[in-house]
Amino acid sequence: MAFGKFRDAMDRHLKRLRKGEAHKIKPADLDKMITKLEKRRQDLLAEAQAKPQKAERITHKQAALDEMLANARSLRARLEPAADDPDSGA
Amino acid sequence: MKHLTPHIQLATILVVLTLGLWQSADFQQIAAGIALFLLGMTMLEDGFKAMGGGLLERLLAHSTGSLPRAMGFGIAATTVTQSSSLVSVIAISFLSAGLITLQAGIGIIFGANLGTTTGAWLMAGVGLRVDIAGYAMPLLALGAVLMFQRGAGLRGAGRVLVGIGLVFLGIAFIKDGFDAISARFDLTALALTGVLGLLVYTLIGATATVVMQSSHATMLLVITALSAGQISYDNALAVAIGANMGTTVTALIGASQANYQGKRLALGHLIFNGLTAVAALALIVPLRVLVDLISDLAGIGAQDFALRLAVFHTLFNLLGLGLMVPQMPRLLRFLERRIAAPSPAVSRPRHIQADLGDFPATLLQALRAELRHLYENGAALCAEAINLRLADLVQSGDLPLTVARNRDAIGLDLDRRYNDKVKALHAAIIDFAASKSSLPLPDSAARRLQELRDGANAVVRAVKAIKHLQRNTRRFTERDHGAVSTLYDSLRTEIASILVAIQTLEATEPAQRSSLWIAEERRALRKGADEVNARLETLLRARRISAADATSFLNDAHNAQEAMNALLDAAEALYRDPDDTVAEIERLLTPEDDTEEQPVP
Repeated sequence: MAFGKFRDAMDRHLKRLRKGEAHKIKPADLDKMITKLEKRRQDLLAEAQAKPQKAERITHKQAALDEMLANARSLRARLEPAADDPDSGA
Repeated sequence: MKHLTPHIQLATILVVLTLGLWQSADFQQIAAGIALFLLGMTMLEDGFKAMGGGLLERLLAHSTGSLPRAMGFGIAATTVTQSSSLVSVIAISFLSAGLITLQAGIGIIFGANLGTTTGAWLMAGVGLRVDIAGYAMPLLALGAVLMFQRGAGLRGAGRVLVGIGLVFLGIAFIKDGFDAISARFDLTALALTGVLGLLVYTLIGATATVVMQSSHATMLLVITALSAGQISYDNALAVAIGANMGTTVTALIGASQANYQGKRLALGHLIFNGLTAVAALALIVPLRVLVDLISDLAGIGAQDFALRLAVFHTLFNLLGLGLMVPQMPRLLRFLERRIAAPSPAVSRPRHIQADLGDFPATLLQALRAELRHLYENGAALCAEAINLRLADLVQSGDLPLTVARNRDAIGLDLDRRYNDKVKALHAAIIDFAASKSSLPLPDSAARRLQELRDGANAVVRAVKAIKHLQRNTRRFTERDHGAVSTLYDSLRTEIASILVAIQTLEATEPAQRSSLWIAEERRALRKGADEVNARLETLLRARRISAADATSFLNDAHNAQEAMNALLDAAEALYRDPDDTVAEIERLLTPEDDTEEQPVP
């Protein structure tokens, strides 16, 4: 996802969090998601090798996945101090 | 007349109650005791629902793999909550939602019947022996404080405490009422002996349970009356048998609004309790001898009829289990034959029912299962509209080849199939979601409800969009039109890819999948559309395709995009993670649209 859109999504999430409508995201939750995305990346690579006729389509999917992974890692980095500070983080 | 009957029943009950209250102070005390007891049971049930936060449902989902486990769950849950109706309602909800099998549902009901006998033990063993009203007061005070707290769990715990307090107070009132009657009257003068006594008091037990909607209340009355010497032991045994029968009437009334599975469960309950009652009545003499034998062995006093009644209650329910469990396969076959599943020609809701109760987790699971049902119907229609079959696509190792080979017309009346397979089901989902949105659901549950409803709308959008491109797609695929046919094949392949991707998600272990995979498909879809447009430009420039055909194709490509995006919208609602926090992360990371901006460095 493009950074601007991701930032907007974050703003909306923080607003919902303040209203008590969203759940607080902990670093551990994000770690699990990052692991899942990385596993998915491996699966897509394996699929591209096994099915060359789908390579182009899989490349597009990988691009989307890479962006989500980058955004997830960025969010994880922002949450880093939250491990010690219960009032910070998303 | 049908509508008047409940009013006439209510009026009769009110008149009899008013006359009794007018005539006798003792009756007032007993009636107030029953009212407090029933109020307490209701609060206890509500409290467990709120306090559990779906715990019972989660346990149920994992504890019904086999008949003994299902029965164990029924016994344990009813013993803890002292409410067989709460356990039965959850079992019916899960069965109606297709989350447990009929055998598991019946196992739970069997177990709940045995679990409910612990109530008689508590009443006879504890309720009548100690100053139970003394325990009620602190429970009521503590419960009232908790009931006004903010957290749902604390409020639920408060209701449980107040519920137990009211139950204790009710028992004390009834006990005092019968003690006062004993000083003036001897109701055992009304005792009936022999077969007539058995039948009349069984009927009284059943009627009292139907009127009070609680076999616990009937058992409490009979145990207290027995303890006060106001009913003969033989007649009390018959009332206990009748109370078991009475609960099935309540279940039958409840099941009248349930789907075919709920009706099967209610009929199974009726057969189980009916046969148990018949066996208990037929074997009343040997059963009584056995009760005496067990009671003597357990050191229960010869005059302690209340505890002996509890032994009898447990024993005859065990007798029922001993008779029915070996007959389970035959019972299942009978129920499935007697109440047939609805015809598949017209899709009816399989999972959402009016009687699902108001447990958020159950509602959402049922709604998700129904959305999956609607999606399956919609996806099959989308495939057939473009001369493809979903099963062939899922099994295919090479989609473009499978698409190219499947050009023959599939005799599909899309409008009729839409009405039969999608429209009614969609309406039922929207109606169900609207009726449940007025419940005080947690924010996350309300949001999920909205997502699932949007998912159902998306399936309809997909089918309607496919309908627009059906004519041209068929025209250009059933006969070879050169380059145009190739273009339409590429559209069909794109749609097939989306359908297969969603089927693959369904087949993937929930822990291994994420609704984020849908975002990947959207990206591939957009890029695929760009490539098709580029190919169209090339064909137009080379004059290998007419302007009229190109315009038609562009319109159809737009409709195909709309259909595929709608299918992906539905899939996003379906595969959103059930964990609220993970779902929040998924929402946060889901791209809204594709842009050329760079991701976060």
